[in-house]
Amino acid sequence: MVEDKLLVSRLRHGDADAMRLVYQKYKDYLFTLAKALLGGQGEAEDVVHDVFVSFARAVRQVRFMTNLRGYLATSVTNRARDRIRTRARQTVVNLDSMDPVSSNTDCPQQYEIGQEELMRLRQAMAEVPYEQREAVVLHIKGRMKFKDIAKLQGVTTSTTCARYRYGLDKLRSLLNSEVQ
Amino acid sequence: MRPAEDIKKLIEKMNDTTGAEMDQKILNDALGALADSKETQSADTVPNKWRIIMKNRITQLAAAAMITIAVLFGIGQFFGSTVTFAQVIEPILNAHTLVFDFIVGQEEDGPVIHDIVAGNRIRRTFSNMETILILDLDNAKMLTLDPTTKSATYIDINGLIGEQTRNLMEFVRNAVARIEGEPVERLSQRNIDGRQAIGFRVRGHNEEVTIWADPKTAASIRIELRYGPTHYILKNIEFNVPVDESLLSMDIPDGYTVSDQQLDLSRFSERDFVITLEFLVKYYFNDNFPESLRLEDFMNFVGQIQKEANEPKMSEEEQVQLGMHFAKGFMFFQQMGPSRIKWRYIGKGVKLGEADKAVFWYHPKDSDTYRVIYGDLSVKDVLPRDLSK
Repeated sequence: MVEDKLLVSRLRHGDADAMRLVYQKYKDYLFTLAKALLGGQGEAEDVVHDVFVSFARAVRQVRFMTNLRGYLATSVTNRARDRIRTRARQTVVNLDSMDPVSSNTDCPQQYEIGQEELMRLRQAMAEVPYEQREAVVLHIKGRMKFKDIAKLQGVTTSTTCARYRYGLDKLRSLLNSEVQ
Repeated sequence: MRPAEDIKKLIEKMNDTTGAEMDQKILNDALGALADSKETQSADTVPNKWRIIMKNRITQLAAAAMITIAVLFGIGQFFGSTVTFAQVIEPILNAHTLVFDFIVGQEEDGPVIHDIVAGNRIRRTFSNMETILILDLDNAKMLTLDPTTKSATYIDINGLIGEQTRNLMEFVRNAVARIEGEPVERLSQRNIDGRQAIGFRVRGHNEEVTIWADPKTAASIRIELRYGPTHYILKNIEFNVPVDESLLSMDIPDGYTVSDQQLDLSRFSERDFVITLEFLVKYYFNDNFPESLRLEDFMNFVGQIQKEANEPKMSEEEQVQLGMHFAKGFMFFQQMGPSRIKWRYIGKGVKLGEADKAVFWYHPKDSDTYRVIYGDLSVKDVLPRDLSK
């Protein structure tokens, strides 16, 4: 995107306003990705913090940044993966640590239903194997192509597609079993 | 069974935000990291002194004048039919090699500068002088070649000189970045340099960029820049053309020699600027102050100095001293820029020695008073309310 290229060009000259614009443009997107991958608010905030600080330090040195959104999303994914590795396996999400999630509806009743659904989704997400969760989150919420996710995961595109399908099936199974 | 599409929609609805306090902390830390990286980079490039190594004394003044040419285009740190603005600026932002002509000022008949750019190497030649400049921006070095005297000069362009010595197209890129977000004005099709072209104009606070492009291919035909009071015209633009690397070599060509004279330009001051003014008035304007003092005027001054370097009006010692003052004086003028320090040249019609007539004023940063240079080249502090007098 031309707008992003221009922002990066300004950042390379130390333009603080450009950093504010990049932050405002991508902070929620990145935080949503981080939280979907990690589950907890605090950990997701830490990841987004580290990604923006590292980006600010490195932007002058990075020669080729053709896709700013992809670059930042990849940074979030790599850091989330590092954190996952430090855990043995995340199977439980502390529901008390979860913040309310936003909904696009103005109707209080629908809002409550939306909140509840999203809460259940988060619980189910935490039970999906990380590689599958990553493929699902990055493709649907991150709007990344399978081939880019495959590159990030170090596997073939067909493996990433399979992980995506298995992840969605697992989510469907978990969510439907709760409903039943 | 809940269908996969429902789950996808649910995932798409996920929209989380950081807490307000954390939000501010992340932004502050990122801004701090950006500022730190800026300082680190500046510290890496600030030299102890700027050195000029010259072949012989006769070229001292000319070589010093070349410094002014090098920094002439560094302006600190921009940017229907069948093509879009995005398509037009794409090669501007990403070209690996560039060949173009440019003119400083609005006059089509002004001196033309020809640039060949490959990465961070630039070969610059001029229509009004023989000198060839080869700039190596990676290593902050400039090689000047004078085919007439077969003299070669290496100049270290670290620090401020280096920061201000840029590929002019880089300046266009910066200007496009700086005025990003401003509305793009589409200009109707017209004939530019014998070709049909469509135009895009973007205005920022201090700058304006107009790009005329081929309506079918989006290739830039002409770029007009205004930064503060200074205008540039870029023409005959070619992107990503093969460039003969030997034209950009920093090696001394056969038959040229180099000497070891040095010139320390680590500091410049108002006094250097006053001496530069005196030099211009005495040697080129018959004791009258010039009509204007713009970047394009310096361009012409440098051309004249270069021509006369082989028939000097002064002793070698005078040339050495004057060369140093001229380069420093120009640096003083250049660092004021259109937005950094308020200044104005008002010397038109003033004769050298007229002590009651101001020729130039500027407002030093954080000062309560203005500095005013008069026709006798005296300098005084003046309160803002007295400036009009």
